[in-house]
Amino acid sequence: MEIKKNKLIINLNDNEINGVITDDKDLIINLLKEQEKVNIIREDFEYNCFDVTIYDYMIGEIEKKNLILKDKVKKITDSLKIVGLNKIDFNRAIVTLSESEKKLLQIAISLLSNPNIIVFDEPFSKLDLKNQKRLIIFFQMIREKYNKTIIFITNNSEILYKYADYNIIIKNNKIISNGKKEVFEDVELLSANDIAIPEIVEFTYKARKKYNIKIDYHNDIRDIIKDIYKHV
Amino acid sequence: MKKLIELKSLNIVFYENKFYTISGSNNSGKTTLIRILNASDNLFKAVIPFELRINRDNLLEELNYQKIDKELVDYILKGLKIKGISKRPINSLSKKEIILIQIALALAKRPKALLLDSIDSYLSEDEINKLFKFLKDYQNKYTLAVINTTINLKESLLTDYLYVLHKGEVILEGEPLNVLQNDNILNRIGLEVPFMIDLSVKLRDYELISDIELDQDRMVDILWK
Repeated sequence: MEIKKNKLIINLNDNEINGVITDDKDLIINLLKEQEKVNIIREDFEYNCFDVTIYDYMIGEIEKKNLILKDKVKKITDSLKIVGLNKIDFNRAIVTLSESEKKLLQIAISLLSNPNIIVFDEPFSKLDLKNQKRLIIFFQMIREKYNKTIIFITNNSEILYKYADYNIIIKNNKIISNGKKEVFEDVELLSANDIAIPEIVEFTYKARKKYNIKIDYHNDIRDIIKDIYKHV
Repeated sequence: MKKLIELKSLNIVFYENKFYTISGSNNSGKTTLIRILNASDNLFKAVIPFELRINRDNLLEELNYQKIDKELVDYILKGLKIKGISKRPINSLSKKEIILIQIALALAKRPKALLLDSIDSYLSEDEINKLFKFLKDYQNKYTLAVINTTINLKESLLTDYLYVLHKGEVILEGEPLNVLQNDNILNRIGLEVPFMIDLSVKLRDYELISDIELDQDRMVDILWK
């Protein structure tokens, strides 16, 4: 998938989890909004009415987007089922949901319009480790089973280093780096551009640079421990 | 030390002028605790993201309206680095700026305790470090307990005492560096142990180091110098 705006050309990988780090989130989100069959999930779930229920909100979304559906209730049920919220009471107020349930509901709402691309602004904020893992398993499932392209827009390089298939770093409307997880192993480039370096990468870089230790970059602490054990 | 509040069912004690972290996974009871504390005393001021009550268009006008001492206003605006945005309409501000405005309004009331509810979702690590530094300066000038809730255990290392909640109960408490070494319990409840502590604990288990080391350069030196 190619997105163009003046001199900025962004190539994202279809059916993969793409990570985007940018100093101008709004610009990128607006560019993505212009694409066909895209749905943007913002960091905060904004619902104007305090006691709005899951069902009412989803029906409202169907009407707002003029979605032509044979069976609205079935579509809502199916969307909730995909994200694992099938056992939840439709008539519950959204305000009573946990943070992770709200994130899953946001995804279920986005699935109503059957998008090809789901853009997620800060997908893991406010989520603990268990819920982060739960969500990433879900993203991997919808990528594989439903051929969705997932885009994470976040400044959290730790998360992208762990979970994204492909990464792009954009600064001042220019792509300064793109590729798989090795994007986050170019410590000097990241430092020069004030991009946070994953701690596990930074430690490995320091060991390699200062003492020329031949340890590899890993994204799992257990692997780096094995490497350290071999080289001490 | 003078006891500020005790919630007996939770066995939590907060003392004056101390900096606390309350951590726990999603649904562990952090926000509930903040709301209970906020309701328990008029001089406890909570910063719950975007729950902002304001009578005027911008922060500066609001502080004047509330007749807050000019010296205190100046100190807060300077400390939070929000002089520039203090005259801007609230509805034109970013989420991060609104959180800082909420903190300024809370501090201007000279509270006994400032309660921060997961504000780190909207501030970067560097911004949190700077904010905490300013709050510690405020503690030196005025008496203030700070109670910060977060999922990010790394923040606790900047504070005096850590409570870890799970299903509404305290399951771990103490000086952050000691509590964070309970990696198995913390991981089991869905919390991520800060990288350098996780690394230290595991390397200590392999008898490669003897103490927890938080500094990466020093750790590299200990292992390979």
